[in-house]
Amino acid sequence: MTLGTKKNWSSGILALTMTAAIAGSAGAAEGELVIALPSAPTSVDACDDSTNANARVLRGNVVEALTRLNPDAGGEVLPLLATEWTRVDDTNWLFTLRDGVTFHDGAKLDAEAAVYAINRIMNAELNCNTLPLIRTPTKASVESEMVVRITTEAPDPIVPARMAYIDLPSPSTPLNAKAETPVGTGPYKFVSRDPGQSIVLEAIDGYWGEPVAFAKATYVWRGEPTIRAAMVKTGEADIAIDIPYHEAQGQPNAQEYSTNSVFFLRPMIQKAPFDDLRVRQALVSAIDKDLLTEVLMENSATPASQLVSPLINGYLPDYEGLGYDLDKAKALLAEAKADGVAVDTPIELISRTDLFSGVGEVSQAIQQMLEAAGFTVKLVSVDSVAWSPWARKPDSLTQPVNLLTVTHDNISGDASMSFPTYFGTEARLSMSTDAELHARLMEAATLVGEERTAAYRAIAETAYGQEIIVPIAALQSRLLTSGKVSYEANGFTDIEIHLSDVTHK
Amino acid sequence: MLKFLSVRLTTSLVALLGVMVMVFFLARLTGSPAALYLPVDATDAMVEAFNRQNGLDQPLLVQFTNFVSNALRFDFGQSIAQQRPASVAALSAMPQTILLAAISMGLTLLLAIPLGTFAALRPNSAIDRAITTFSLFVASIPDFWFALVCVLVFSVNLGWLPTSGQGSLLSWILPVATVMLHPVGVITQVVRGAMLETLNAGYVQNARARGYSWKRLAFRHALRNAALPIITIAGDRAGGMVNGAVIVSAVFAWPGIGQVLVDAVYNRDFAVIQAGVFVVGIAVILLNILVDLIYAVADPRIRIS
Repeated sequence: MTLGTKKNWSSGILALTMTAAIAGSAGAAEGELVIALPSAPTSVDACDDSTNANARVLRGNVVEALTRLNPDAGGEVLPLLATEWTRVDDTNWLFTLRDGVTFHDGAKLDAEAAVYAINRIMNAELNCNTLPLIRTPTKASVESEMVVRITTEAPDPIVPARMAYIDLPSPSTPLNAKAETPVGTGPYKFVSRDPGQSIVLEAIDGYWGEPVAFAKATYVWRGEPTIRAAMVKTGEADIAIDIPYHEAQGQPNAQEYSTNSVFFLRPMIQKAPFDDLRVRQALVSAIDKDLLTEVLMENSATPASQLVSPLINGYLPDYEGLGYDLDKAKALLAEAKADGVAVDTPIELISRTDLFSGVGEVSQAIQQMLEAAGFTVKLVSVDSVAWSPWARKPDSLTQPVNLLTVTHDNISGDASMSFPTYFGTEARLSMSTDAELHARLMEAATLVGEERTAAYRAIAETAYGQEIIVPIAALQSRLLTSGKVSYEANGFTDIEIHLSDVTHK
Repeated sequence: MLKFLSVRLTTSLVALLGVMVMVFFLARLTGSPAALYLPVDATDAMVEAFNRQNGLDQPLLVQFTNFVSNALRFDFGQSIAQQRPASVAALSAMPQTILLAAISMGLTLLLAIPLGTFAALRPNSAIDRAITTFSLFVASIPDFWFALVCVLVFSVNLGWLPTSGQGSLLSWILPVATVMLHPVGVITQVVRGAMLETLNAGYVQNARARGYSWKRLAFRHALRNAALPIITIAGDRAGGMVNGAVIVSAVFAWPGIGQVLVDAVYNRDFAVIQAGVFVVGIAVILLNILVDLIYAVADPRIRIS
């Protein structure tokens, strides 16, 4: 990621080169594409695009942002509706808009339209899902006809990356209500939505960017993975994602992709026995991640020892953490017990059933591994709503001591989208009370370049050394494509499926 | 007749009212929708705004009073997930559900009545044993497994039928077969039992001694006298079909009330849960009244009064 640079020249040149190459191969869109997804969007408003189910349909297809992140390059920021940007000072940025872009309703993309869209998201009454990704109060204003000024209350060196999360709807979008028909600048316009059944998009004429191959795209929702796979095998669908290993095995058009998600346990470190470091170390040592990932997670995961992937600047290249060692776990527990730590306290393992396929079996295995080490563990299965009071402050602080199952993904390339959430003292999902670590997080958020990377790596070392969280596995999944389409999975496939990346075979 | 209908309707509506009250409070015990619709790290201001916009910031009793007064006007509020009136979401799914239930029950009766009757005509014969085994088998198969296996065999391997969704007439075959599965087995067994008892009755033996054929006796006389338990179980199963056919929704993404209700529960879409339960409740009440009327037609000794 380019952080705090004056101009993103390299990205601009790359985008121009791509556009020129694409213009030479332009052709009329034809045919229909059917995409089978596990869950329908909960909202079709551009400001709710931070959830996977919403973004998979809308982002990059119907609506676009000022910038986009490179899916395969660790959060490198690329131009999209903005062609270049400049950091004026610590809290001010100027984004120059692309000429000749119009919304699907004919409105022109200019600074006024972009300002309306960005400030609309900041309206707390609108409850945009994207809002929590903007860490400091942010305001857009018109600098000139095609230049937008972004002003942040506190210094934020990754504003260009954050802008990639703010999709811009047309100025005709209601200011204080969610849109039921999103209107954007993307290659497809939103045609219809049959709630719970399908969404239909159609390619537009005169799209400013890469011409798309398919004239129509229909999204259908199939919660059962066997059915999603069967739809591709029978030719009813052209792309199906989140396919289990056994359904994809032997299929000629199966591809594996990273979901960017890390599955981890969050111990309730504010209560005994997890307030003792030795007990947390025993916890880590008692879990055989290799066994979990190889046997129970059906080739859908690899062991993880960190919260973030190597694409994120806070990733520690050589860090592996404590390995599986049952004897060591028992010894650590015995030592803590001898010092009066209440290691016999019953611990509730809160297993959220919708985290990934097979999480129930994995949770049961973790329960047994921990009990083998000497912990007393009770397994509690909950759905995402019932999980919330265990996860979020202030409710989480009044719960009995527990181990919470969590998944986290970060595609931004920057640890500021991960570490404060789980290591900061103010974050709702964090159990940390380490004020010094929190101060370091605040400081790291203002740094740029190598200094920023170094700061986040140092924070990671501290946090992992304290076993504030217990990473278990990095999650992967699979997709199937039909014989008539070409699509190459990338680092964002689980979050965004750009139809412009799908071509006729 | 009118008195019967008014009494039946009144008692049914009282029961429906009880169900609605229970659904209202039980749904809210499952947790706040804010946890689902807002990001996990949403601010307090966002949660408060969400609750206010969806009327969830009011005391529970106030919410309930509003719900009752609006429900009397068939206004169940706005669906959070579907962004349209909850009553529209529920009602728009009912035609598909009723059609699926009607076709499935019609085919079930066409299959189960002859099978049960033939089995009863020759008790303990090879035919009886085969039919009994078949009916017990289909009544015991897990319908979720059956549905998936059918997709793999008829859609993936043979390529004859669509996997899911609703399009051509062919797309009805697997959902109908899945919905029929258990009722065929159960109703065949009920028909067999009822027919066995009737065929052993004195008037049937007497008629047989006079030279009536078994076929004529069974289908013209005995079947009518054996009809009451068959109507009862068919009515019960039809109620289950109208109630949602949840498996069909989960596997085939069938756009009926089952899918609407399952989605609403997962989405904590209270308004749609309430509207869906109300619509299904009304459908089941009407179905039960229809069953009562069929009783009277099938057995003249029963008077609708």
